[in-house]
Amino acid sequence: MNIAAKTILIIEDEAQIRQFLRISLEAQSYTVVIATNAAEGLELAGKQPVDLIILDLGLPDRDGQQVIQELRKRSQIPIIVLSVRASEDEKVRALDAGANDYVTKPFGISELMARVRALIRINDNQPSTQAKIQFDNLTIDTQSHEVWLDNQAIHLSRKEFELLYQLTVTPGRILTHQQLLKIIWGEHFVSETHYLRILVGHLRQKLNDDPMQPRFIITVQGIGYRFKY
Amino acid sequence: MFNITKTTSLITGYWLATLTVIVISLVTELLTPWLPHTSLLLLFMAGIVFISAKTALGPAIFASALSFTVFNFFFTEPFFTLDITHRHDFATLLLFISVSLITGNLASKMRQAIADSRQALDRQHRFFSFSQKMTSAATSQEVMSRLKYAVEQTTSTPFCFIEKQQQQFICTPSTFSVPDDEILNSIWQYEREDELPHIKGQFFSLRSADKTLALIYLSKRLSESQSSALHTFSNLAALALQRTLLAEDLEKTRLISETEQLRSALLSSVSHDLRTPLSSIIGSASSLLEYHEKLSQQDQQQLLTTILDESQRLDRHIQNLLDMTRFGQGKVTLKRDWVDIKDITAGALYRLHDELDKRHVEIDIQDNMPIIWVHGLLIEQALVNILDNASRVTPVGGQIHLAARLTTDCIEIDISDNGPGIADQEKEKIFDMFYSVAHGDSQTKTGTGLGLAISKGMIAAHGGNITVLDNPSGGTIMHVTLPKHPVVYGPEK
Repeated sequence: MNIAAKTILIIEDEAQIRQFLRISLEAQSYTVVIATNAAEGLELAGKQPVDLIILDLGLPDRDGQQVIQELRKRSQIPIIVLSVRASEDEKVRALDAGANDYVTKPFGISELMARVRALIRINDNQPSTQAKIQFDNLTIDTQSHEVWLDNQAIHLSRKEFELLYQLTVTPGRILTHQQLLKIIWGEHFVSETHYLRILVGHLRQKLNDDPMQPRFIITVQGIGYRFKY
Repeated sequence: MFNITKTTSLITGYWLATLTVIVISLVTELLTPWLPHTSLLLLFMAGIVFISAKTALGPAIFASALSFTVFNFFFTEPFFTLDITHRHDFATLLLFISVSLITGNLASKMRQAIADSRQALDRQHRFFSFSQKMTSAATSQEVMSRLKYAVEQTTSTPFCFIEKQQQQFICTPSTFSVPDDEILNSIWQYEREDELPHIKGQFFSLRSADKTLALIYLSKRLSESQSSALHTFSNLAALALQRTLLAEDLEKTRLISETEQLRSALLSSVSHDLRTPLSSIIGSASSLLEYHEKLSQQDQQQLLTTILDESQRLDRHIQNLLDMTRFGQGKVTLKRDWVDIKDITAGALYRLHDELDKRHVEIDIQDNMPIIWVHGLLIEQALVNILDNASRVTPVGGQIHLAARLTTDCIEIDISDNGPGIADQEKEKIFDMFYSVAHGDSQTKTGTGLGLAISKGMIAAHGGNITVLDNPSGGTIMHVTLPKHPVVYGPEK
């Protein structure tokens, strides 16, 4: 994997934040393209190949949610959203609109870098096309619906498998409660979060995954779940 | 209702009279050989006195007439006819009828007097218990709801309360049809009802010395006794209302001045608590900028670490201040959802990992913990504040212990540290927002700040509580309880 070839588009109106993002990303050998507002960002995203977008939700000219929708109409480029604290709803909306991940301001650079690396890696690997998905000691056969942990077959119910599959097909990406409920139970169950909590609990138990020190499934409080990358 | 029972008891009275006369006749028949003929009448007299005492005048007269007839028929010659042979028999019977009428009358009058005094006693008792209820009512709402109950007990006539707010008459229930505002106004202004144009219903007013507090309007006029009862109730309620309104006014004034105090304390806290970390940040950053060439690699690293740590501390302060103002204004709406206590704990630990990694954190969460119905982020924040506090009083390398368990009716979380502990007289105060604000985040000896007051608010919003206990091995235990909610199990399979 050649990191030097990766281009990251930053759409952010605040100069200080643009600056430290540029310095750090360039230090990690990424090519950085910068836009200071939504219009410019959308234009740049259409003009040149971009591998990942870092998007601030509070832009001067347009609502960040609209920008996500606009971008998603054209491509599946991974998007990391930057948002302020205490607005779970905003984050959930961004993720539901198609953003892949979020970072809450103020954030440390290592936190952001980890997300960037994970999303670029996923996009390279495209695990959804593989018949078998492998994470450390966990193997998932997407065809036969069989799962092995430490080479031991484990039996999952249909819904447990579906949950595991959805999380692992895009590891690192946050799936919101609503997204998971809709996929696994259907349109009418999007508010029945306790179904999901209980299902996650069962799956964790079978995967021998301690929520206090998760190896596989990470809870994003108030928002959803992600698979550890 | 009253009429029905009266009729029933009257009918029973007549039956009782008949029965008594029959029984006495049988006894008299048995006693005939041993008693003089005229003395037998005394037995019947006893029966009549008995009936008069037990029932009303009607059955008593009926019993006299029946006794007279029966005696005449069975016990005077010629037997088995209503004719009378002996003149003295005739006189005796006449005497008998008049005596029995007089005793019957007296006995039933006495009975009525007893019933009256019992009713008066009962009314007095009702007034007494009502006045007691009024005295113990803590709020105006309570006064009104107790008054409503008392009126409902007294009369079945529909009624409403009328109050005045900002020159508008407010009627409860609002659908009740009341006379127009002009009439209401004159009643409100102490005018007497009978001087007003014809009103269908009846007003009772709750008045203090100088103003009208409320009116009761009944859709039709009441009987005299109900009217007098309602007058008494209104007067008692007016007194109680005067008292509660005064107390509520006082409370309002107290709240306003407390908010003022809180605001000024908040300002000084902001300037102190925000400036302390800012000083470190500005100092470290400017040192780096000015002297970076002369500084060793290690010193530079140290200054940079300070900048990062202090910025994070600043961020937590700001979060606390935001949370506090939100809670202070009551603007927090709980977004409850089913969450796993382990997830919340993991989230809180993760957010503090920089601080906690330097200490030994021991976690002990029971396996069978149910998922709980809370606003996850708020509970997480509450735990962050408590853990932050614990880590601040625990020296680097020290131990913090978090244990969660399920009891029969709640979920308990204990966070223990081996810090200096909290003195008994401070134990309640540290949760007092005012106290915490006034003492600042870094000025209290115990090291507690706004954080604990906010945690308490967040936990309390969920119906839970935090208390401080002494750690038997030194230090403090923060004891959190959260109510348990039954989980509705869904089709997870």
